[in-house]
Amino acid sequence: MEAEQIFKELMKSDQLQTLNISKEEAANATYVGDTNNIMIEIIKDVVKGVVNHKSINTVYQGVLKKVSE
Amino acid sequence: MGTIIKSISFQNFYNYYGSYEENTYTFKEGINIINADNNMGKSKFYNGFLWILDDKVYDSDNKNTCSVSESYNKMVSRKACHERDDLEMGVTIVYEADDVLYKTTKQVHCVKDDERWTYTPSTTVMKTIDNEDLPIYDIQEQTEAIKKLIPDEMKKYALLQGESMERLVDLSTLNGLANTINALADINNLIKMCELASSLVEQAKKGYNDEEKKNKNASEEILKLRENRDNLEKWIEDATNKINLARQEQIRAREKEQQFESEFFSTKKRVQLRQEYDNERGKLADLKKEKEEQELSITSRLFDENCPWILMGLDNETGDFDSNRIELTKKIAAKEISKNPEILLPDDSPDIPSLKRMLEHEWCEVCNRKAEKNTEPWLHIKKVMERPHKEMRTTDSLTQFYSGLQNATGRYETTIPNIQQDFERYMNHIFDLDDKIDAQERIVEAKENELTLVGSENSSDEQDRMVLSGYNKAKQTISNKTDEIEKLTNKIKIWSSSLSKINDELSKKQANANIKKAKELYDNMQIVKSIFDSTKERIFKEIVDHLQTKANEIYRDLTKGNQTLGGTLTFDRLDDGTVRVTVIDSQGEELFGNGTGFQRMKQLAIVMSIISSKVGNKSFDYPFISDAPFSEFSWNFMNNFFEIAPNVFRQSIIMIKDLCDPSAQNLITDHGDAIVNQMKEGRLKGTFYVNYPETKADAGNMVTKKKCYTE
Repeated sequence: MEAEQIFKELMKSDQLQTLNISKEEAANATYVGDTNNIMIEIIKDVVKGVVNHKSINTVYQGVLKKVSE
Repeated sequence: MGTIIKSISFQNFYNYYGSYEENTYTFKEGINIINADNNMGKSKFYNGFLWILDDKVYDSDNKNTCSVSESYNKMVSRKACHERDDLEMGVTIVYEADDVLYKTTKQVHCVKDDERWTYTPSTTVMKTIDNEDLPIYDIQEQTEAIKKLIPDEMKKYALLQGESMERLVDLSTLNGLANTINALADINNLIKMCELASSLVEQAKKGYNDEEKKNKNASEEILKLRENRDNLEKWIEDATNKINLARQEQIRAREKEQQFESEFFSTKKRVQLRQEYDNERGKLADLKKEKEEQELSITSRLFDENCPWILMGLDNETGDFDSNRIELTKKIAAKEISKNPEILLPDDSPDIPSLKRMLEHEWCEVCNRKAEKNTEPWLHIKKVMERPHKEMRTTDSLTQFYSGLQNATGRYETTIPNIQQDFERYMNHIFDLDDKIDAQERIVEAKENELTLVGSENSSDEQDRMVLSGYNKAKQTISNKTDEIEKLTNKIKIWSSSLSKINDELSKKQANANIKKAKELYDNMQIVKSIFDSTKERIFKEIVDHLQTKANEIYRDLTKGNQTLGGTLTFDRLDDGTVRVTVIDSQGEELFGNGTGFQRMKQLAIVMSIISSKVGNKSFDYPFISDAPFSEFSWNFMNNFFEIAPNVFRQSIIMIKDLCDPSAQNLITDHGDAIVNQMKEGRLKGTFYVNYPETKADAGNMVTKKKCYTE
């Protein structure tokens, strides 16, 4: 399953709302484009972390950077 | 796209004696059937594929798969070996994968030197692009090209050996169906993402704890709350680890259960039959012993104190004896009398005083007349008085002797007439025992036949008991572990509830902004992890559901027209992540004890559902190669398979004996003839071959020839 398809599947989750991601935001989110929702971007970071073979620490630092911005 | 096998050729490979050209089987899309009677090269044909794909061959003698390097001496044609000391043995498969034509040859140069054969293997792989043949020299590239024939993860579904069909029931192992589903759905990346999300949660938790530690002004109350929280987290972690361990043990037990399950019912039947057989044999032994004892009792019966059989037939002899005795006594008495006529008088009559008186009075009181002294009458009276008494005693002794005998035989007077009856009763009992022994021998023989039918010759009682105990032990372990997991899960629930309350309190009391921020990230990362996990589970479940639907469609089609219902296949995702396939009846109860044909149909349906599942862009587009998949199938099952196989497999290559009839002129059965006609008329795509022996020979020197019916 390609990363983009996995991302689409993740965006179907009902739990997204608990991260303040609206259904509309989730429906419009794309794997390649940017969104204004940090949590969507963090989810993308996890997907990209595996696809690009990044270390756990690198991915975590990226997450920290995002939440501190 | 996908792979199609164009042909397979053999050179001096087992009984495929001769050159590649002489032993080439060309294939088409659809069903390719190679019919071969026993020993006509079915498994050897299958071994050609195994060699190319895995460097292995299936050894029918030992019923296991072994490396080709250990088997060259068995693989090379005996006939070729007898003719030459230097020869080539090999297999070539030509196949098309993703529009590229490949030709892979595995060959062994066999040389005999000083009565010893040496073998030098080699592999050549060629690919043809735009009519140009290009050899592949790099070993890695060669391996990749061979994998295009059938990829590793699909081999266990694409390569089926009839005898190993039951072993496909590793469907509940972690490496079984669950992994296949992961591969089908291509969610291995998603699984890695779940693992990464879990690691990020740990990092976020550590960050949160670090921020807490930085805050030196925390109150006693906060410190106490943190301590309680840490304790609860530790307990939950420990309990979770224990659950994981228990699940691993449960998986292993389930694997064992699955291993034993396919054998369980036949094993149970065998054990039960053996018990019945032993009981019946015991009864037979008792009957024989009883008969033997009866026969041995004849001696004692002959001389029995109360009813001696030796006197049989002497019923009237005691009466006769009595008359004879009287007769004899009379005769003896008469004889005595002739010597002493006085003896006629009774022993004590007339008595002595009377006789003395008669002599004194000279008067015979018997005749009532005068008997003067010394006259003849007087002298007669005197003689009578003086008659000898000793001789008479002899007569008394004889009477006593015969009376003794009379008394001794007298008590048999009533029993002797019963001896015949007693003897008849005895003989009837013996005849009755003979009948019972005959009947019991038939029962024992029937049980023995039943035992043979359930495979008692291939499995000892000890082995069977091990299977039963292994199965029951596995079931017990599964049950114990389920209880353990349930208890631990309940504890975790209670602790999690307490933990949640403590976390809420801590959130209210810890006002530090950095701590709040770190806590928020930790909470959010837990939700992110949960999103990944639930998405993976959802996709997995969708595939399981899809497979279940597909497998049932195929199972229904495969078993249609059968007189009994095969049940419904259910695919259950278990807590430990494995998938268990069971068959349930119309009442929703698990169905056990289906015959081997149904069991194999179940396997085949699952395999076919996996093969025919198209998930995302992925689909199974590889040949299905099977040796003797139908050995337990009825014609109905086979016919159903031929009907639906083209919808599932783009190409299948099947080695069977079921359509073979060596006694028929065209070597095939009527059913085989019908298949050939369907192929010739284009209603069924494929090819139809029959293997036959060149000349009659023993298995070692056998040479197999082929005839194609669809060229």
